[in-house]
Amino acid sequence: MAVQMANAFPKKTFFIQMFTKDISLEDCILDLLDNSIDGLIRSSNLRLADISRSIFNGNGDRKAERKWTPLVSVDYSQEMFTIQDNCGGIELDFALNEAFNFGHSLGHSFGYLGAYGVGLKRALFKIGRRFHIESKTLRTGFTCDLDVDQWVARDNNLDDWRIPLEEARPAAGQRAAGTRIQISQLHEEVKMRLQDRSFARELSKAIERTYAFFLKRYVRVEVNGSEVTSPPLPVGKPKGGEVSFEKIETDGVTVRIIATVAQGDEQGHLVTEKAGWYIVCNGRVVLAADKSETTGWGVEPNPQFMPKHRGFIGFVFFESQNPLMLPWTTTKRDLNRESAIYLHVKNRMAVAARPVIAFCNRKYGPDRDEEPIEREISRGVARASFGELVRDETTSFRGVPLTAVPKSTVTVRFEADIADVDKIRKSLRKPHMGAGAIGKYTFEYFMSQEGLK
Amino acid sequence: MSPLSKSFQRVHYEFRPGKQVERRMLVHVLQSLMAVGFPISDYKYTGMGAIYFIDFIMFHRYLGIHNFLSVERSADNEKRVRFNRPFGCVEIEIGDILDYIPRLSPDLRHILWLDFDGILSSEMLTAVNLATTQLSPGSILLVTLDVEPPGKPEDGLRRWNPRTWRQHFVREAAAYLWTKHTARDFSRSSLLNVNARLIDNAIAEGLIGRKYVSFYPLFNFTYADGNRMLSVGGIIGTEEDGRKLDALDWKELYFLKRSLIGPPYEIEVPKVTRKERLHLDSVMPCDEGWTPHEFELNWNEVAAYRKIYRYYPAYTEMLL
Repeated sequence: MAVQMANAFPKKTFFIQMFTKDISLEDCILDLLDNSIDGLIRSSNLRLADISRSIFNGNGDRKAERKWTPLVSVDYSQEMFTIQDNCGGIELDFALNEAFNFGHSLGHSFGYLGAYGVGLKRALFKIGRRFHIESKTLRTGFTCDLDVDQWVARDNNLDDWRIPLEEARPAAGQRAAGTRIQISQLHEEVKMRLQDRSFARELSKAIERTYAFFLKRYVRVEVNGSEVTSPPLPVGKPKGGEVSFEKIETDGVTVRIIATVAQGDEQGHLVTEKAGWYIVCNGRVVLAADKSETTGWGVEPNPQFMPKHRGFIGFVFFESQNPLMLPWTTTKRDLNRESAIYLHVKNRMAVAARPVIAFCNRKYGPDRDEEPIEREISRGVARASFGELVRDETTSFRGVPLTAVPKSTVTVRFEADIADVDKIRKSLRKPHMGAGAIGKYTFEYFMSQEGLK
Repeated sequence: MSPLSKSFQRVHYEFRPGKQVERRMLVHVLQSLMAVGFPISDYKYTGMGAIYFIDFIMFHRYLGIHNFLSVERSADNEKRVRFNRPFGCVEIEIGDILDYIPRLSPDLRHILWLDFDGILSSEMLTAVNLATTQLSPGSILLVTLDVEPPGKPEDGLRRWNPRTWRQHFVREAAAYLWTKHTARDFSRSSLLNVNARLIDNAIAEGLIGRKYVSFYPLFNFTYADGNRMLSVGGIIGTEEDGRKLDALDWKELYFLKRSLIGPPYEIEVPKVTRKERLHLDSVMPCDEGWTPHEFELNWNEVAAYRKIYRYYPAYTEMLL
């Protein structure tokens, strides 16, 4: 019988509906920010090793290689969403052959943050029905205007998947080299989301958390004119003690695991919100202050995160020239739990965390008030930069012992006949007095009768 | 209940014949491992020596190990533990073994004997899990625990039965239990296997993500000097380590097992006098069915002696 060929073509409506569903508006905007930062990396030949060095150098400061810091501005209203940067722009060649593909071609040279080749398209289709892109590098420039509905309507062959670009003049100088994306005819659900007063705050928090290691070092970000800044992380080091540190190199991925105690605020208080594991992939924070099963809490051999663990802070830095090797999901806001590197590192995280958790368990004993303990802990913890926590070899956390509180009480317990206990209740005219209270009463009675108190 | 709460205070560790047979068998195995290429004398031994340190003494004398760590949980006995330290090369730490496992150096190979004296608990399984994550390839892990039913028989059958035993394991080992189980799976005769399976599962969890490394079971002993105990263990090693193990004389080391969850090797130590022992030794290894004419000892007892006569401890009183 003759073989016939069934159609298995991609359909635009399917793509647009499916791959915009499972990602939030904030995450789409973060994807666009990733592209800006990747543009910066390409245009300034920034290497992964440079990013790594800026995180792990001794005092945490980065010597600025430029006199100015590129800016990414995010602005939105009910009519328009705009993201604009001067991070170097997109080469025309790249735009023609790669940038608008769904996914990367073989042999593609990856950025460090843009892993899957879907972030730009996903954001454009998620946010609105019309977009205008202008991009200029020092060598080339282009513009692109698209009416999404009209583009979707033409879906008969692969040529209909192309997007028209017009060549434009290149940038006059470094500070003008960048990209502007304007999206209009916003979808109704996006308009509603943007109207929500908490959106700006949540977006800013997401940016400050995700780009904690890029902000100010490499790039500035503004949302509707307000600069997003990243407060410092409460990274501490026990004075006279040691942190847990391990470096693993496997399959083209470098992993650094650090587990230590957090530094308290000025009053010596530890902030539960900032405690937990931070997972960083190529400088981008994927999970921040995670206390869930994703990072092993409540999964053997780790305990469930409890308030007494708020002194714990841990970091796992994954680095790879190939971002597909990193254990993040396509949204880059979660870990891929089936990733081989994640499975390997998860158990190492448990080993690194164990002595810190044991330290936290010991310090909050049942017979000690929490507040003075916290102040005592804080006095024993110094603020530290990541560079101060990196070691040449694997180390295990060692805290400084707390001052021992001598025990001055002992528990007294004994069995007594129920009939005798009832007699005491009757004698005291307290028919509902508990057995423990009766025991205490009789103890106090003896002490005072015998003149011992 | 005895006012002496710790097991080393209730039982004199030097006079547990089953345990001592186990130790001697272990020494024999470790000597055999040296012969097939494991540099045992360079290993670090970490144990829970209490105040007796018997394994430390044996490993130093018969294996040449000179790097030791003994972890004692309770600070109440610190002075006594330190006083009884047998050699200067034994480091002593007071604390939870869980705190010390992460500190075991990845640059050394280890023998870690988690010699617990109680019944299975979540902390034990956590220790096993952490150990299999942490121990470098070529290291040896051994776990000993009490496999008597949880609770007290004095509580009566209503509160001491397979249903209540199952509750204990659900409470302590939920993360490692298999999905479907009933009270019947926790009958008294099944408890050995239950404990072994849970430790096996904890080992498997600890190995997740470790590349090129597997667990090669070797030890699966049971004995009862008082309470019934189970000791399981093996080597965390590479394929090359596995090949070295194939070169062991498994016939001579007949008490080794290739699985943690099959029937264990039962160490039975028949009670014989010194004079009887000398007589028995003079014909060991005896023929099948042989029994002495000079005194009553049935074949089962002779067979049990024949199995372990090379490892049978001799206790004497020394008048000093």
